[in-house]
Amino acid sequence: MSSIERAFQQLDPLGALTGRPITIAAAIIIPVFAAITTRVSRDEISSWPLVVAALVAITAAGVVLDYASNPLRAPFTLVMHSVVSGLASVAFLLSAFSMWDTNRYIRDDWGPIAIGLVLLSLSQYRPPKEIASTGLSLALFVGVVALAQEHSLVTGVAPIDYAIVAMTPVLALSLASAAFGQRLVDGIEAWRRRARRAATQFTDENSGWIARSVQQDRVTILNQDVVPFFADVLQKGTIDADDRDRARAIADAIRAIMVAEADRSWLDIIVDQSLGSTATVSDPQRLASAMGTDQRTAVRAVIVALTGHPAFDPQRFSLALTGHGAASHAVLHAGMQLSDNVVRSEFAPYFAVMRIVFSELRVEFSDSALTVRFSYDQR
Amino acid sequence: MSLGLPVHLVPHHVRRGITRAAHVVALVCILSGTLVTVSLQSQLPSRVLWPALIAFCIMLAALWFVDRQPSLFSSVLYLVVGTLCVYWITLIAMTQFPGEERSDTFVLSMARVAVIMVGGVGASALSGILWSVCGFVLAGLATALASWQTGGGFMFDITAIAAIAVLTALQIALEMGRTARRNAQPSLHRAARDEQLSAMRYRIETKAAAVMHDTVLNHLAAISSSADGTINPSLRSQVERDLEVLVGEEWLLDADPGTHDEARTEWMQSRLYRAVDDVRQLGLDVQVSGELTAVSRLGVERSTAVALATKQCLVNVLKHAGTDRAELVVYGSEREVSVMVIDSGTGFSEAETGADRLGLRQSVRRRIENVGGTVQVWSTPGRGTSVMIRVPALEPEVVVISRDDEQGSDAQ
Repeated sequence: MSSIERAFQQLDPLGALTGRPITIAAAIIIPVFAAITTRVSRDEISSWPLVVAALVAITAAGVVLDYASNPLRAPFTLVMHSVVSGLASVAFLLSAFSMWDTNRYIRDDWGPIAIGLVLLSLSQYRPPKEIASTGLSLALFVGVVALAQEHSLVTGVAPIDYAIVAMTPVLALSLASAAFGQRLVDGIEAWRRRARRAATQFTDENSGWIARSVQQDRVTILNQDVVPFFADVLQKGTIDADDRDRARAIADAIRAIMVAEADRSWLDIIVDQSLGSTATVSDPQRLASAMGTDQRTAVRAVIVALTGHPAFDPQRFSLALTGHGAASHAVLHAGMQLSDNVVRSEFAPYFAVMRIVFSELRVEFSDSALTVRFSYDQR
Repeated sequence: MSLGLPVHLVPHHVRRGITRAAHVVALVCILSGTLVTVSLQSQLPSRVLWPALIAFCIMLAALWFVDRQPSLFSSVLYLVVGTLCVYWITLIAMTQFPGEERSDTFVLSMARVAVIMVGGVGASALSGILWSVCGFVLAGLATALASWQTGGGFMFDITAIAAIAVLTALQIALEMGRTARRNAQPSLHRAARDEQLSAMRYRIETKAAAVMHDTVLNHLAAISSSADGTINPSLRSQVERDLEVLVGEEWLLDADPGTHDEARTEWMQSRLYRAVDDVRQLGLDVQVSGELTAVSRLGVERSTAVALATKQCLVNVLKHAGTDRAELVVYGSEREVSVMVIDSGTGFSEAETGADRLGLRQSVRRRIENVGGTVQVWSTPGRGTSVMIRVPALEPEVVVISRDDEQGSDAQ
């Protein structure tokens, strides 16, 4: 994760899962719509190879749209946006060329509508401003191509009208896409502001009992040896060799406890809480501490979800962190007596969040063993 | 947090998003219809098309109203006005182009699609679908009536059918897709809360370890290196005092402003608190400790300078340090107040920072120097940064006057 863009998918990975069925449907419907429209207006076509090329291009746009919107490949990047929009534009152009001297009506062309639908499908994945600017640019492009076809059009109106007719679906759908995305982004940001205030209040409310609990732990340790020893020394008022030896022994014991506590990472604690002492975390370079709050939250949630699942096999759990240069890599193995599809669908929301907060995520499942690999930068 | 909206807020936001998107489509349709009508009128001045422009203007006003004031009334008003306008535009088209105009031409389609995009009110997908179906039916009836009155041909409008199909499919799909969020989101929010508690516990444990080190371990070391004989009186008094505190008092809570209501209120009214809160809103986790009430010993000018300089330091952490955590410690003495901003981020060399990094020089160093303070920066690339801001405190009698920041500025 380099930096978070103001796109719905990156602010709310779970929410983007909600829109995934729409994207899949759009990826299928757009080429089908193009094919049906081509069939209906077949008598306007002058070059069938170009029609086929146009249909291939718009199908490719659908395939890329489906590929790039997969939550396991998140986030949907600007490059993918450019590829999908580019393919749709190429499809539009090829379709226009296939009817260059024979196109009678702009309104029954599928190209502008396909471009508009593609941009509508991006609403959850790319920043609203980016979608709007792509929409405006492509509307201009579509308008110019429509103007250039004026010689064959039969409606008998001014050329500017052809441009308006061609531009309308691109503008309407892309700006609607941007408006939808903007509302969602605004909603999330407003909620986050409230949530941060609540988090501060939550911290204030809980710090008291946590401090008392930690103090109680320390006092318990002190009461075992330190308090009796100090009381003894203070009562005697003198120090001898035995006192010195005892002081050293107590100091060593306390230091050992403090070192053990300092060595225990947050990840050790989560795994310990979820699995008891049966599993351990291999993190010799202490890389767990380099994870940010969102990353820790995602890992915590996925560990709790996996270990709490009825099909989880505690004997086959491991988690190892290794560092290479500035990057840290984690490999989580978990035995799950489930089928591949069930594992992927049940844990898809967690993987969707992990995919956004970690720079890399790979999920594999074979022989009832789930392997999740993720990477992050050491900060 | 990348956890997104909680489940119960989603329908509201999705519906608002769809409504806004529908209104944008309506706006584009109305503008396109208007532009084409203007173009046709200029090409065919003998035909009376301009009354259709009045209808488009009225639709635009109704759209503005329903978008600004979404309610049952404004939605119904939009439907009624839109239907009458569609009827009016169709009537004009049919009468001005007798025998040529069909009911599914571009301008008429645009008017109908604009009515379908009413948006409406209600949080459920079903309510959204019903509103658009109402628009579709009413606009269709208006077109059919005008066509019938003028003897024109009525055709089913593919554009309007496609518009309502896309809108309906969108709302159904968004409703269906919410299952995944419902299942996972509570556990993610629980994980976020546990993480917050865990981080807090870690900080308190670190503080406890430091206190143990500074007290118990130091005393044990002192005893183990003492010569035979009477215990050093200074060591004795230190051990007695620390034992009393460690076992008998809430020593971990002392630095927490939350334990003393008065101190807490004083701190939360300070400009420095507001500066910290501002940066927390930007996403930086700022841990505050030390003698927080010391900031009340600064006058208005100095407290403003310290707050703004501290804010700049914290913003720098967020922007440049590659970490989302920072620590702010306030120290106070009779003569001065110190604020230290510490992060364990990437660090930097101040001499090597570029011309674009004016924040430290202008917003921090110069600002503090202007109020008689000093700034010290310790930073090592890869190890983090500490910035110490020191500002002279006011004389006690002046403190009374300027204790309240808000009123103090007026008084001065």
